[in-house]
Amino acid sequence: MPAGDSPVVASEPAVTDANISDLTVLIVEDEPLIAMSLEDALLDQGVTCLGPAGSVAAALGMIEAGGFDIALLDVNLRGERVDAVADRLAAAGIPFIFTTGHGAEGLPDAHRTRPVIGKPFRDVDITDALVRHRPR
Amino acid sequence: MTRLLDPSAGTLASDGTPAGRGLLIPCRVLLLEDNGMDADLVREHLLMIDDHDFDIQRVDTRQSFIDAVANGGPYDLILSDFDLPDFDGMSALAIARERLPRVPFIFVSGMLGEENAIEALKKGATDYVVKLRMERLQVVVRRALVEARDRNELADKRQALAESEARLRFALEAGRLGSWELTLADNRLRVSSICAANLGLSDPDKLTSYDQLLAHVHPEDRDYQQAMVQQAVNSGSPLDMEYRTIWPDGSVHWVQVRGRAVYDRDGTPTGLAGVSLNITDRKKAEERQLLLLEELNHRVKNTLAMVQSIAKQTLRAAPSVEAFPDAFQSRLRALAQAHDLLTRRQWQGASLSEIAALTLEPHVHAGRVTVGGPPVNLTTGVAVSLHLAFHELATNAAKYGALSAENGRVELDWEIAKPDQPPVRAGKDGHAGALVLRWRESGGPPVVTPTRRGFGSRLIERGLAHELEGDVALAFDPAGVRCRLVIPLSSRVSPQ
Repeated sequence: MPAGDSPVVASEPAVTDANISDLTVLIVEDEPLIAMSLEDALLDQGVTCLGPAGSVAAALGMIEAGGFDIALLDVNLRGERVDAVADRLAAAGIPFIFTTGHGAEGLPDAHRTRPVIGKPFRDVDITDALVRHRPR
Repeated sequence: MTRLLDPSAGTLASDGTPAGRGLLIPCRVLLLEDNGMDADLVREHLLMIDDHDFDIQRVDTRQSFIDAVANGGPYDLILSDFDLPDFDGMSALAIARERLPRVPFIFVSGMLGEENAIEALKKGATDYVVKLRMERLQVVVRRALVEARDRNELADKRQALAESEARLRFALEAGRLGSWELTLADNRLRVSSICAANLGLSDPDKLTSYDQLLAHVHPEDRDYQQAMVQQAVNSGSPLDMEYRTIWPDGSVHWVQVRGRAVYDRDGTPTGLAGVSLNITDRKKAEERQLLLLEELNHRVKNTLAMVQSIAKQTLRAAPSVEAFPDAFQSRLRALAQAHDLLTRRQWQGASLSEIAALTLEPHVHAGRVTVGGPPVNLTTGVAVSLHLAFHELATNAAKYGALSAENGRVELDWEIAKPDQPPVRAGKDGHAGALVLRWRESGGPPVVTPTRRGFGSRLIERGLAHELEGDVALAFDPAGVRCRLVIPLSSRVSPQ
């Protein structure tokens, strides 16, 4: 297929023109390379980043400390499921978006209706999701 | 070619008698008779019997009789005189009954009192003929032969049946197949010991009804089990199902059951019969397989995300588009090498010295690189991260640092520091101590601090520090690049 004319079928319209530079985002991700990539995507949009938290304990500590608007949450941290982290965020009323290499079946049962971004992701997937799910 | 049939064997008609003209029933006769004239008389009468081809072997002494019988004949008939010079008929009978119990034994004697006759029949003689009424011989022999044939045929069938049952039982046991039979009228169940063992029961007599069986089926599988049985009865289609059973000790096991309904002449189902097999091992393997596939999917996606990240960050840091491919491919190769090493270790982790050797192997020449430290185990994630970090340091050293000059040297060493030693903070996991790792370059061209942090610096200073929850100091010392990592010991980084 010639470059530049590949059809891009978007299930939802892109909303990247919205400004998210006022946001502070907590990154929960155990793979440093992926965390760095997330940071880059967010810093490019002027977003402030916290983390990355690479373990359930570290993530819980950072939620305790607070100071962020929304979280990006890997579903598995060093073999440990993040159910406890999702529960804590939900209880605190902080929105969050799962990032996962598993399908939807890997999500914590109590949080199956939460937004999910599959790995590998495009930068625009991240920023779109933040615009869509940021606190109003 | 394998010969399955003896071509010399006669063909039998459908009623089991020899077919065709001139086909006579061969009949080998052992005749114990000391008198030649009497023997001829017997022979004459035998030859008058239709449809038989008699082959008569005559013996006249005790020893020759014993030899003939001992050699196993094989004879179809024994005819014996009652009185012989060195032998007597009753002894001959006793020997014949012991050696050839299936061969009819008929006395042919000049005189045989009533008492002797009764005694002979009691001891197993088939019949007797007195020489004065030799014409009876034809009738007696013919009847004895027919009866013997019938008897032998029945015995052969019984034996064949017993052997067939034994073979079937052996095959079932060898295949660990249990067998079962259900009678629908009263829901009675009969199971073999293996079938009972498949349900964790040592005694097959403890399982005598369908309801008892159901009680051993996992509650979640009971409806399915009953539905499948019902369907097999209603439709006549083969039963083939797999369900879980709960053994008396509470453990869960899988069985596969195959069978088919049995019907009477009116087509009414009367029962079911079939086999059962313990398939717990296979089920466990299938579950493992699913888990592995899921894990593989996860790893592939994660690796793709890592590759994507490496590509993006390499592109960002590349001074020119031309510089991108080499930098990107070299990092991909490092990632692939780490995966190779971890695959060799069954993804159970790796040792720090293995990782260091893997990274520095291309540069270990002329003794310019030294690596050393105590044994330390790393989990897979840490191993990959450290390898990528070392790779960045080594690549930088080869391009701009100590390994770019002829006499430059790199030292990579590490030690385990006690909790109270200066570089170690109190770790979150308690005071377990720390791994202190040093990278030191010397003898290279003067080091200039880069104006902006590249991918390698960022990976080491940000990524590694975060991932290992440790302290990282990367210094562009004019005398040589130095890097010190202080990583708290944990289950991920542990001395051997």
